[in-house]
Order: sequence, then structure tokens, then C-alpha cells
Amino acid sequence: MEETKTTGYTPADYKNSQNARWCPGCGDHAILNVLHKAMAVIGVAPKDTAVISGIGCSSRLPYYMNTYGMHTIHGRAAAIATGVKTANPELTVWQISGDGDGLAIGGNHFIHAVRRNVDINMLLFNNKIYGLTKGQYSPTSDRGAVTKSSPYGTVEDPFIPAELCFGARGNFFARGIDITLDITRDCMVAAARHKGAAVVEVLQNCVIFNNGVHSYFTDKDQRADHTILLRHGEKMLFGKNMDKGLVQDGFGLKAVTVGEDGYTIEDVLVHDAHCEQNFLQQQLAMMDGHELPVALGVIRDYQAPSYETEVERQVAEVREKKGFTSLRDMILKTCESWTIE
Amino acid sequence: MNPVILLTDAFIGNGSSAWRVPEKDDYPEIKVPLVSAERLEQGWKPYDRDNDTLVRYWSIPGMEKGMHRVGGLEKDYDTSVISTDARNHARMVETRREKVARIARDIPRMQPMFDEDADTILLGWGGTYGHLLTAATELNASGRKVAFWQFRYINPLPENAIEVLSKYKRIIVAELNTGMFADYLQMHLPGKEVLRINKIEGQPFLVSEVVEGVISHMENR
Repeated sequence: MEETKTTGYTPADYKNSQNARWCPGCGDHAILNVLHKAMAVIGVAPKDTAVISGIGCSSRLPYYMNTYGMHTIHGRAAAIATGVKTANPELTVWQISGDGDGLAIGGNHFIHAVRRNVDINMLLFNNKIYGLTKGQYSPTSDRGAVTKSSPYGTVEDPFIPAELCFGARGNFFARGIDITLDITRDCMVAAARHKGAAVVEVLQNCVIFNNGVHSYFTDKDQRADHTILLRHGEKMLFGKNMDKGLVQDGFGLKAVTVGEDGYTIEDVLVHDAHCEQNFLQQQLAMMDGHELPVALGVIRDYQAPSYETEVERQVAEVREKKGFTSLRDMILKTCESWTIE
Repeated sequence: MNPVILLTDAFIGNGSSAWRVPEKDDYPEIKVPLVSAERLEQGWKPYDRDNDTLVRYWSIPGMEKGMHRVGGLEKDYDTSVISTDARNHARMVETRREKVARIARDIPRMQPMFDEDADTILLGWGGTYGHLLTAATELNASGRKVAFWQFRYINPLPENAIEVLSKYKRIIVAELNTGMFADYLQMHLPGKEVLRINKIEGQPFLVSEVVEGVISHMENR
């Protein structure tokens, strides 16, 4: 167990003795381990950490943490997490949802938590299926996906979680894969350090009901050419030899090989995660691993007022201004009343 | 932790009445069963219960040594970890039921008005209070002995409610629905017939409707 020198916490401090009841080979095991590691790096005490989940395989996660946790109802993790954080802004609040829980029944709570910019760390485990209920298609399943509830293929387009997040005016979006442990850990750490709603999409493999849905870019021999790790301030480079780069192409993006077709390193874009204008960040987040590589790492990280801080500030301001010290005081000052002799 | 469902209605909300402004200490303190620091030291488990009330102790985020996870999955009665054991589930269901039943110890007992010598009782619940009280007052003033009680607690019922009701020859429930509270009381009073005055017009009772309804039951019409 690695000791995190700066925080004094180890991953073991966030683990409990419950056996994780996920299938052998489920991506959730890796994500759980990464979350323990991330929490050790972040260094918030277990007693000040609350992990809130909805319903689904992903949402069993709180039971495997040594923090406070609540396994709530389907789609409602964001609602309850918003309540927890607003009631006690001193806590570090994590929200765990899957693609079904978070974006189908939970879609409404998702967009509002993001819009409100509540300081919660929203982990979205995306395996493009409903796993716990054994294989129905979800809002992120691809068009044409053949599943238990779409035996002839779906006839609808999926949400792209990143696009929904940006559509809700999200200020933080990052992406990891269940098997890219360090990248996912860093995304989680960055999310925790971001003050505001931080969405981390973790592409997760459901080994039983949707095995290999991400393989075309996550497999070892595909990853280098079909994913790109973005770091703020650094050139957008990828590929086995880090010789492919993203360049501007009209209003879009293009992947080129540096040194070919007249493209030099100067043409390769530099990633700016802190830019207020989200147009380019959204483009990056939408790359799907076919023509352009899937973007990993912190894609957007912009500071804006966070909900619970503003609530606290307003309450303090109003209290100060109005100066009431008791219920009776407030009633007598604001309502018509008369005295009975 | 039990969810409490507070039933109210627009009739009360849109109405008005004089309200006495409370003195500072008029309202009783709300005491939550926070787990004590001593108990946390000794090794508390989230599903430990107070022996009398069967209530669990609250540990809230921020409390040292109080970390725990709650949620929709059933837990083991003794160890508080997730349990899929069938008999444990039955035990937990019974425990939760008993916990709710014991709330009756803390709610006010039933004390019917106009009780002397009445063998008929008029019952209601919720926002119909004013109309039913006036009806009962008028009935008694005109010489018909009718006891009256407005229920404020439905589940559990006041501890003595069924015992008190069993004394009456004639039980009449006036409610603004098809007789749901009457059905519920009927469940608890197998030997008796719970009579009804129902109105489902989306409008409050008229006092005259209630008076007429009681009289027609008393005359066995």
C-alpha cells in the first residue's frame, strides 16, 4: 500500500472489508481501486467524505467504501448529493451513477446538478447498457445495438455524456477508462480539486452483458492510435510514437502526422482546459475513436461560482441585513399582528 | 428513521384564521437520536437499536468513527452489513413494523368530545374538523347524543383508539372520499359495522350534510 506522503492517508483507509459483489472481470473493480487511490491523494478524511449512488451495478460502490455513503433510488443520486453538499458544504461529496441511472431516469437531476454547479464529484460509469437488470439498452447504447430490449437493434441515437454536460453549461468534464488506472485516478483527483460540479466519465466494460463495447479504442493495441491524453497547456499529441497531432480544420479538428503533408509541431493545437469558451473543448470531448481519437484526461476545468457556496453566502448576508434573532421577532416585524389584553 | 407523511389540504391552505404568535420557547425541542461519542468509541453499528423504541441511532457525516453506508439493500440484524439471508429479511421486516407500531406510545390518546352517555360517535380526519365539530355541537344541542373525535394520526392510530371505539354502538366516519378511513378502521373492528358519510365533489362538507347524515344513520335509514 503506497503511503501518500503529503496527506498521510493510504488507499486502505478508504476501503472496507466487504467483498465487492461484481462479476469477475467487471470494470467496476478497477474503478473502485482507483477511487481508493485517488482519495488517498486528495487526503480528505473518511469521516468528511460522503459517497452517494443511485441504482445499478455502479451504484453498489458506496458499500465498498469506508466513508459515509448512501445507496439511494434510481436516478436520484444527484438530487441527494446536491442536498448533502448544500446542507454541509464542509463535506467532500462523490456521486456514483451509471449511464442508465444517471442519464435516463436521472437525466433531469444530472443536468440541473451540472447547471447549478454544485461542488460534487460526479462519476459516470458508462458501459452503454443496463447491467444489473441483465442487458437492456441504455441512453448511451449505439444506434443499432442489439440487446435484450432491442432484439432487432435500437432505432435511436444515444446521448453523448460529454455533450449533455456541455449542454448543461458544465464547467468540468474529464474522461478515463476503467483500465487506464493512472489517467482515471488523475481525473478523479482533478475533479475533487475543482470547486463546482465535476463530471468524470469512466468508460467501463460490462464483461457479461456488453463485453468489448469500447474495445475498438481501449484494447492494448488500439489505444495509442485511437485515444489521446489531453493535458492543459500541452500539445495535443497521440500515437505510439506521439507523432500524431490534432490541428484546426476549418471549424473542426483533423488528425495529422507531424512532419507529413506540410504539418509541423507549430500547427498542433495546445490544450486549454481553463478556457471559458467551451467550443473547442466540446469538439474534443465528442471525438469518438473512429476518425478522431477518444479524448482522455481533463478536457474542461473552468472556475465559476458554486451553488452551495452561494447559498451559504446569501443566507449569511440576509441574516446580517435583517437582523432577526428569533422566530417571534421575525413574525412581529414582518406580519400584521394585534395584542389581546 | 421513518418517513412521516403529512397530509394537508388546500381547504386549510386557502383558509385563514387568527394565529397566536408563539413565545420563544413554545415549541418543543426536536431531539434526534444522534449516536453519542461514547457509543461510537465502544463500537457502534448503524443497525443497533434503542431497546424501547427500536429506533436506530444517527451518525451524520463529519462524525469521527461514525462512517457507515445506508441504502435500499437489506442489512443483517446483528452485523449491519448487506444480507441476502431470507430469515434475516423476515426478522428485519417484523422489526420495522414493530418500530412503527411503538410510535403509538408517543402520540396523544383518543379523548372523544361530547362523550357522556353517547352510543354514537362521529369521526373524521384532517381538514374536515371545523365542519364536523360544528355538526356535532348542533346535534348535541338539539338533544341527540353524539360523541366526536377528529383523528390526527392514522398510522399508527392512538394506542387506545380501537378500545375506545369498541364501546360505541354506532360508529360513523365522515370523510371527503369513498370511505378509505372507514375501511381502515373496519379492518381493526371486525365485529362492528363502520358507517359512512362520504362526499366526493371536490368541495368541503356542508354542516347540514353532516347533521343529516348522522341523523339518517341514527334512524337507521
